[in-house]
Amino acid sequence: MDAGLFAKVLVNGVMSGGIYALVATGFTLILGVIQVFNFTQGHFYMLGAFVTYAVASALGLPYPLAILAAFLATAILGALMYFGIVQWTMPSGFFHTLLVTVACGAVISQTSLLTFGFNDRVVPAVVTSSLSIGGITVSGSRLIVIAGALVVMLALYYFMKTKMGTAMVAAAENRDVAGLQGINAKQIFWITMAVGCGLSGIAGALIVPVLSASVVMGTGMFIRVMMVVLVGGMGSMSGALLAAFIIGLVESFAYQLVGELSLVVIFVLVAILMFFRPGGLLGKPLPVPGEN
Amino acid sequence: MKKLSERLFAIFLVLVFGISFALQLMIPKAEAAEKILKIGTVAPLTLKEGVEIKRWMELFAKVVNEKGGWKIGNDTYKLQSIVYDGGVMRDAAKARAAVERLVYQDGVKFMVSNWGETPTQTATITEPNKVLWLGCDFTDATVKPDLKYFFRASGVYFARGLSYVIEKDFMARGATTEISVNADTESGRVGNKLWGEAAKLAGMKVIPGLTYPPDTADFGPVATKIVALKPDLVELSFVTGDQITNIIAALKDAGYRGFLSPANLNPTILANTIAKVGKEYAEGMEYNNFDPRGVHNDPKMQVLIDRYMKEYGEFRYEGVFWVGPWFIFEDAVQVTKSVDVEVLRKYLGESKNGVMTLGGYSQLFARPDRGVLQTIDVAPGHGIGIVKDGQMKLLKKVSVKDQYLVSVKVYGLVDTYREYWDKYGRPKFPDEPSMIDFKDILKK
Repeated sequence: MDAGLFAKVLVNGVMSGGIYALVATGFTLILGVIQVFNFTQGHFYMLGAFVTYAVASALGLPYPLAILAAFLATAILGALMYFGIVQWTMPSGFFHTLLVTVACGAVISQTSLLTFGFNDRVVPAVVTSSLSIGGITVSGSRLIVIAGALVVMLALYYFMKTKMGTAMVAAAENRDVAGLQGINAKQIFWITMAVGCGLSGIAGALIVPVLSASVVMGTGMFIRVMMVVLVGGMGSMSGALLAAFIIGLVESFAYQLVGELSLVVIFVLVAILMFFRPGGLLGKPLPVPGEN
Repeated sequence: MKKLSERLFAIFLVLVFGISFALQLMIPKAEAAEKILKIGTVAPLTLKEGVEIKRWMELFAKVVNEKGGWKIGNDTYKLQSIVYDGGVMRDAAKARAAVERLVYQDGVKFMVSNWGETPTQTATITEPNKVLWLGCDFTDATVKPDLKYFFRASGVYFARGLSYVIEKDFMARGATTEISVNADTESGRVGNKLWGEAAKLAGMKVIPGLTYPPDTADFGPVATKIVALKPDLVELSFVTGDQITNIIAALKDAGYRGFLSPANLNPTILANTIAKVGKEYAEGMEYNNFDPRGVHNDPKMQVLIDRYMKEYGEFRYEGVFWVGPWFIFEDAVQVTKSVDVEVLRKYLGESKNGVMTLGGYSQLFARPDRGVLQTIDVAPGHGIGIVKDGQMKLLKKVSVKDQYLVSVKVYGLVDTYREYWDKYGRPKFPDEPSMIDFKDILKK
C-alpha cells in the first residue's frame, strides 16, 4: 500500500468514524441518561440529511444554515417524540419503550418514503477540490466532514461541562440522587432526547454532500451504531467516541484487504471483543433496567 | 270457500311461473362467457424494479380489459394482474410464500415478468402444478431439460453483445484494462463474470471484478480500491439507482479519471450525477439504453409509453427490461388463440421469431449447452447510449442476432452450438441491422 493509497484509506476511515461518533454519542446519551434504547437514531440521521437537502438544494440557502436547520429540526422532533410518546411509556419499562421506538422508527420510515419517494436527493459537494501534500491527494469534501464532526464533538464536550451537561451526567449516574440534588429530571430528559436526536441530524447534514439523502440510509447507520456502542461500552460516551473511529478505520482498511468481506471482519472482531470484554472497551456490562 | 282459495292460489302459482318463464325468454341470450384470466407476478416491491414491474403488469391488464379483453374462441378473457412481494434477492421464505399464494390460493396458471424471487425454489412449486413461468433467472440453475414450464423470457444470458459493443467502443477510445464493479449479490457476481468475459473477447485486459456489501452508502473505500487497481474502464454492470451516482461521485473524489460505463443510467440518475460531479466528468459515459422511445419507433409501444405517463405521471425505466416476458406471453396467446397451458408451452418452446417489447425485439432460443432443446432463454435486443453535453443520446442499437451470436462466442460454446445448428437448423432473427454474422463466429 503506497502512501497515497494509505492517506485516502485513512481519510475514508476517519470520516466514517466521525459520523459514527456523532450518531453513536447521541444514542449513548439517550441510553445513559433516559435509559431509552432509541431505535429511531438512524432515522434522525436520515431526516437530518433530507432537511439539509431541503434547505441547501431546494431552497438554495447557505450550507451552514442547512446544518443548523437539520440540528434544530431533528432536535425538535426528538423532543416532540419524548413528550408525545416516550415519557408516557417509560413507566411501563425498558422493553416497552424500546418497542415503542421501533414503532416510531417504522412510522418515520414509511412517512419519509411517502414524502420523499424512492429517489435519493443530491446535495452538491461543498468543496470540489482535493488537498495535495507531497504528492498525496485526499478529497476536500471528506476533510470537510471530518472537520465538521470534530467541531461538533468539541462543542458537545464543552456542553457536557456546562450546568446542563453536568446535570445530564448526574442523572445518568443516579437518577434518584440527582433528583435529590434539585435536578429537574423531566427537563433533563427532553433536552437529552433533543440533543441526542440532534446529533444524528447533524451527522446526516455533514455527510449528505458526500453521499446522498436516501430514505434507507438510516438502517445501515443504525447497525454500525450498534456495533460502535457494543465495542465502546453501553452508556459510555468516551467509549462510543473511541469505538466509532476504530470501527470506521477497520472498515476502511479491511475493504482494501478483503473487499466485501469487510463487514464480516468487523462482526468477527466485535464478537471476539465481546467475549473478552463484555462491557466493551470503556464500559461495563449494562444490566437491563428492572432486572436484578 | 276453501276450494275457491285453493283455486285462486293455484292460478296465482301458474301466473308467477308463467310470467317468469316468459321473462326468461325475453332476456337476450347471454354473451359468450366472460372469464377472468389471472396473471401472477412475484417481484421485490421494496425495490424500484419491483414497483415498476407491478405498474407495468397492472397497466397491461388494464389496457387489454379496456379494449374488451382477449377473445379466445367463444370466451372473452378479462385479465387480472396479481403481483406479490417476493422480497429482495435471497429472501427465499418470502418468495416461496408469494409463489405458493399465487398458485395454491389464487389458482394462477401463468406467472409473467417474475424478477428477484428464487427461481429454483419457484420451480419446485410451479412445475408440479403445471404453471407457466416467464421471468428472469440470473443463474443457469433453472436451465435444465426437466423443467418444461419455465421460460427465461427476460434475462442476461444472451446479452453479451451489449457489453461487447460497449467495450469495443471504449477500446477504440484508448481503454485497454477493464474492471466490473457490483453489489455482492447473486446477480452482481454474475454481472462481474459476464462483463469480464465480454471484455476479454473484445481484447481488453480484465481486472478481477469487485463487489461491495449491498447496503453500502459510503463508496469511498470502494472507489479508493478501484483507483488503486488502475483500470482504464470501470463498468457498473448491475449497479442500479442512486448507487450509480454515489459510486461515480466517490470515484471522482478518489481521483479516478478513466472511462465509465454505468449500465443502468437513466435521466434522473444522470442529473443527480452531474449535480455531484459536474458535466465534464460525466461526459462520454456509455450505458444500456432503456429508453424505449430512442430504441425504436414502434407505434404500439409508443401508445403504451404514453399511457404509462398518463397513468403514473412520469416515465421510469427500472421495469422496462424486466416486463419483456409480458409481450412474449401476449404474442403466444394471440398467435395460438389459446390460454391452454400446454398449447402455450409448446408454442413458446418452439419459438422461431422475435417479439417486439418495450426494449426492442426479444427472442427465445434453445440452450443446447445445457441439454435444453426447447427455446427457453431470451436474447434481448437493446440500445447503447452515450452522455453528450449532459444529455443521454442513443449511440447505436444491438440486435437480437448480435446478442445471441456474441454470447455464444463469449461463452466459448461455438462448437456446441454449431452441432446444434447443423442438426436443427440455424435460428432466424428479426429483420434489423447487426454487426456480427454466423460466419464471424464460426471461422476457425
